[in-house]
Amino acid sequence: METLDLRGEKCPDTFVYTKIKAEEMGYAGGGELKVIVDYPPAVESIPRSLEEEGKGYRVREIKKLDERTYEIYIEVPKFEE
Amino acid sequence: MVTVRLATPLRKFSDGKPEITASGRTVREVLENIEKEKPGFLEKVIENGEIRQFINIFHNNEDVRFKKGLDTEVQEDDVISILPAVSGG
Amino acid sequence: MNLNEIKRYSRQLILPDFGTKQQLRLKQAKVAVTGAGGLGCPASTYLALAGVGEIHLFDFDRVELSNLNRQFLYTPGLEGRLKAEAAAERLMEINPEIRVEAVCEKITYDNAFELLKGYSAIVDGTDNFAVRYAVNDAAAVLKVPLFHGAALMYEGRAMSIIPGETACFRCVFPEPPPAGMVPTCREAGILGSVVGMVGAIQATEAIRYLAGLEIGLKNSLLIINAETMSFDKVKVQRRADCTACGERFVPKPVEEVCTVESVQEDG
Repeated sequence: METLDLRGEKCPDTFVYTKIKAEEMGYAGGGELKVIVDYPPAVESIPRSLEEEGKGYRVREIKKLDERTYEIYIEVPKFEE
Repeated sequence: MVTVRLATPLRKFSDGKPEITASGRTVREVLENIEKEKPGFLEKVIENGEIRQFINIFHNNEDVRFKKGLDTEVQEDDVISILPAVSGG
Repeated sequence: MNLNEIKRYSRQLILPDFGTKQQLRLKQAKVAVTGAGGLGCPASTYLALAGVGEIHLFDFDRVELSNLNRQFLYTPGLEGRLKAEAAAERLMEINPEIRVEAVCEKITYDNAFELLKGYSAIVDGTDNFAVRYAVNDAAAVLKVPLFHGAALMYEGRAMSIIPGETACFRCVFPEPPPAGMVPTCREAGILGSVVGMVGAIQATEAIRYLAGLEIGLKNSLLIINAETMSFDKVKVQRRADCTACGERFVPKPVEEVCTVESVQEDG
């Protein structure tokens, strides 16, 4: 599993970093990605934006660590091409 | 079939495409036919039978509010554009 | 006009409908550009290049690295500086014949009617509905021509608003979309060249209007789609019951919702 620590980042940058990391993983064969954020709106917007990407990402679990900090577990498929 | 151009905020109803085709004899029928394919579309555009305040529908580049509204008749190959306000800059 | 000015503006002075009188009108104009971002950079640059005598740039934001794919008045190293100040300095380097002032104040519904007084035109390059409606309503009440522009992903919009003559932004969109229809992070995406086209169109309309020439976007909303490169000009009309420019003005402040730029604050 790969981890992306985005504590201190806000939207839309949280999504940009997640998107680029997930794409790199998808082209490299897929896998699981753990994203750590401490910006609560990102907990809703990252999964929604990933779904809109239409690339087959699946948010498996969202864990709340404390008042602001969350872990988002994303399954990244292997990309064709 | 008529061409329906969807502004960016409505693209989830066209699988991201800038335009789709749909059938219908009036603007209302065209919208209802899109709803059949993409449930949830109509309520984004219409409220209590009226076009929402922040949405404009243009039929062949003219605002349907100044024609017959949702009852404006459409012909084969006409173009309908559906536009919410956008604010980015 | 001094020799330097004649040389500097020679390529536009050659235009058949352009000459001394038109150039002088530009020189005497005082234009407010609201927002020094993706639209404000190209719009203010073209106004400055054309010789608009006085430009006031309104922006309270600071330069960030993520601005640099589209906001070409800023360069690496300027992060953290007030945009309006940095842009004003750059514009006066580009054209030392004109005056550019920075107004680093946030435009609100409460102060817009005072801040936007006395301009020959306003070019709107703001990035959220709250300020857009404040600018529109103030322009309508103060009777200042307003050159509207907006962009979202690959879509651009432009419209020219002449008080007493054409539909205003509120005639076309009486209300902003509700919070539930606000863009997602993906919709914060924007390409510099797309927002640049829109800003260039706003500036072209403003320049021709200020020079006393006919313009093309009166009672028309231009919709640009940069994916298909289609430019649609749809007809719009004034509404007699418009709360901004209609028979009776009614103040209608709009609340700020999460939009392309303010996404950073609100998610």
